[in-house]
Amino acid sequence: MDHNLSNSQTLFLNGSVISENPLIIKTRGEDELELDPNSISDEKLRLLIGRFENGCSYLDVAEVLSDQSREQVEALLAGLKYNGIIRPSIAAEGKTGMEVLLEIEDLSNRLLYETLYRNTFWVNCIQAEKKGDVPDSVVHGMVIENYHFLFRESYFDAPVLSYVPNTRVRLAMNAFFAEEYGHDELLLQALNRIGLSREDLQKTVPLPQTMALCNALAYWAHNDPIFFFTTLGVLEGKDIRQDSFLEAAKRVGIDSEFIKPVKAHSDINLEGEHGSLTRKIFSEIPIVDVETIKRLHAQTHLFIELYDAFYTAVWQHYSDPKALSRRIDLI
Amino acid sequence: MQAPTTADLFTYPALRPGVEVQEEEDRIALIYRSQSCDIEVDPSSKDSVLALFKSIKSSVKSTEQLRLEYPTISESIAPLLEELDRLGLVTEGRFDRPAGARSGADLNASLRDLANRAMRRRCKSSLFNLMTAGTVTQAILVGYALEYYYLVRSAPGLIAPAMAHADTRASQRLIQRFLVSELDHDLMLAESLASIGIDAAKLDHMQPLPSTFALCSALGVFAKQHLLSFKSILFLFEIPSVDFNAAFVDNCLRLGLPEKFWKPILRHAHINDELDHDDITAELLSGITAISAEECLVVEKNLVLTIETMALQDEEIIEYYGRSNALAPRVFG
Repeated sequence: MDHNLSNSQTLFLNGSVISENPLIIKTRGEDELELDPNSISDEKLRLLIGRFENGCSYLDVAEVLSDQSREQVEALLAGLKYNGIIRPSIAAEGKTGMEVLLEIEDLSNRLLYETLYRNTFWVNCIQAEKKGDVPDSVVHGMVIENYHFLFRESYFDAPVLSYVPNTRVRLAMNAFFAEEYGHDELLLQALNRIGLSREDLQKTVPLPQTMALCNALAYWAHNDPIFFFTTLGVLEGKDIRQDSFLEAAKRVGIDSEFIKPVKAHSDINLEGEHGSLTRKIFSEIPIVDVETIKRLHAQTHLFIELYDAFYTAVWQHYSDPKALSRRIDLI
Repeated sequence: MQAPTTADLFTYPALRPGVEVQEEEDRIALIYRSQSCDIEVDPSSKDSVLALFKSIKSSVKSTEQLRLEYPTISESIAPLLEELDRLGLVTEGRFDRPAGARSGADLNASLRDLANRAMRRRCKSSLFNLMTAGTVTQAILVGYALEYYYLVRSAPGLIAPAMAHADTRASQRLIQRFLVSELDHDLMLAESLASIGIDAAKLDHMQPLPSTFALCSALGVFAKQHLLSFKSILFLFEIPSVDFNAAFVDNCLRLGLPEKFWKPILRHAHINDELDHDDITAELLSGITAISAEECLVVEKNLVLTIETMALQDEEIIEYYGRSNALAPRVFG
């Protein structure tokens, strides 16, 4: 029997009085239950039922039953609750989806400015002016790792295609998936230009940091879809107008035919405003509960770290031109 | 896919707390943590833009109010806010109180009432009625035991995915303990079947009745896809059935089924009662502070569907295992 009734709860009659004498309550579960006053006077019982009709606290009940011990009052309330005659009403506590997202965006921005935007990869890309400022192998390696990532897009997008809690969110994700699907083929066209075939890439091992990010997203998509949704804005580049990596690639003289299909993928994202997908999703989420909000804040740190590590690893590994191919058959 | 614009999302745009506005000769600088940006403005508009920034820094006004207050730059307000938003400098100054949401405790209470109403309307308790009338056959009781065995054997695999979901530690512990408490219960029921000559080792490919599988798959899908539904319907599988169990034993005795058949089944039912499993939904839902109206509706529908499927299972056990040519156990091929 549940004795967990706190002083802060408001207790309501869960039904209506269908007979005064004998006193019979019909609950919302359609049970018809006669209340036997037992040790409580008939008058006090009816007074109590009247109080429940308008909602009252434990203290109100104790006041009416001032001649009863605390244990007797608690036993009475527990019995009434067990039989569905009264229900505590506990107000919902949470924030709207947009309010939560704006908090997460602010946190993400802070972390991005403190870490990822200052990592070797991005600093060199932003500052690149001429050939060699960003090694060709790094540009190629970035596309290779992006290919591995997009090849596995369905690993992390597909689990949320059946997002049950919110129809509009589910539809938005399905539309996004339809637009995003197949982008790995665009990057493959670019990689063909540097002599990498589909079969070569099939035998290539992604960087551990690429898979760490990919598996993290897939894990969250399966087990924490609302957090997964928060990552999409960062991954799809909500706040960019142009692809800084591609602009840098142009400036350092990368073959334009290599860049073209990569730009096509980037343009689809920009024109489709994929970076705003998270905003669209969270604007449709009416409420997020307290524990989830805490979790989203905490995990954002981890996500940005994984994302930062991805870019750093691309620079560190592919700065060595000989390291371009990570073929499993050569290990 | 239509993405919401800044104008769609912000009704009361405000500079984020901590954004500093600095007037410079031919521009306005906005500084926020390690970011800074310069807004170049026409000298004739500078005072208005500065006043606008100071306004959205210190007060809460709607975009419409801002347009009226700064008519000379009213057309520039939307693109300006869009750019500030792109830089992460803007937030909403006034958030709505979320409407229509319910606490987990409230939802739990209403689900109990809904379950009562749905059971009254949908459940005919046909199997129980046959037992109380003393007309249930041995084949039907054995069929019931087989379907029960299938469900209990499947339980760990159905419950396990629920543990992977992001959740409070308290909730995860509850589900873990629930899973642990269900482990190896199929062995108990295998003893029951063995007592009437059914070797559980030969039941690897046993097929349940469609309604039994419908219950299993619902539970399993909810555990994977919608944890809230999983938590919300669990109590249906754990409701104590004192009268049913008593009638079951009476009929086993009437039909001469051995004690080794009915005792393990009874023992399993009592274990669940002792562990207060029928409170598990209440415990799991009590930890959730807010659930949207849409999600509550999804759960309510899943609850009714589960009750209806349980009623169908009742009917199906009687109909199938009452046939003279019923395959029992249902091992095909």
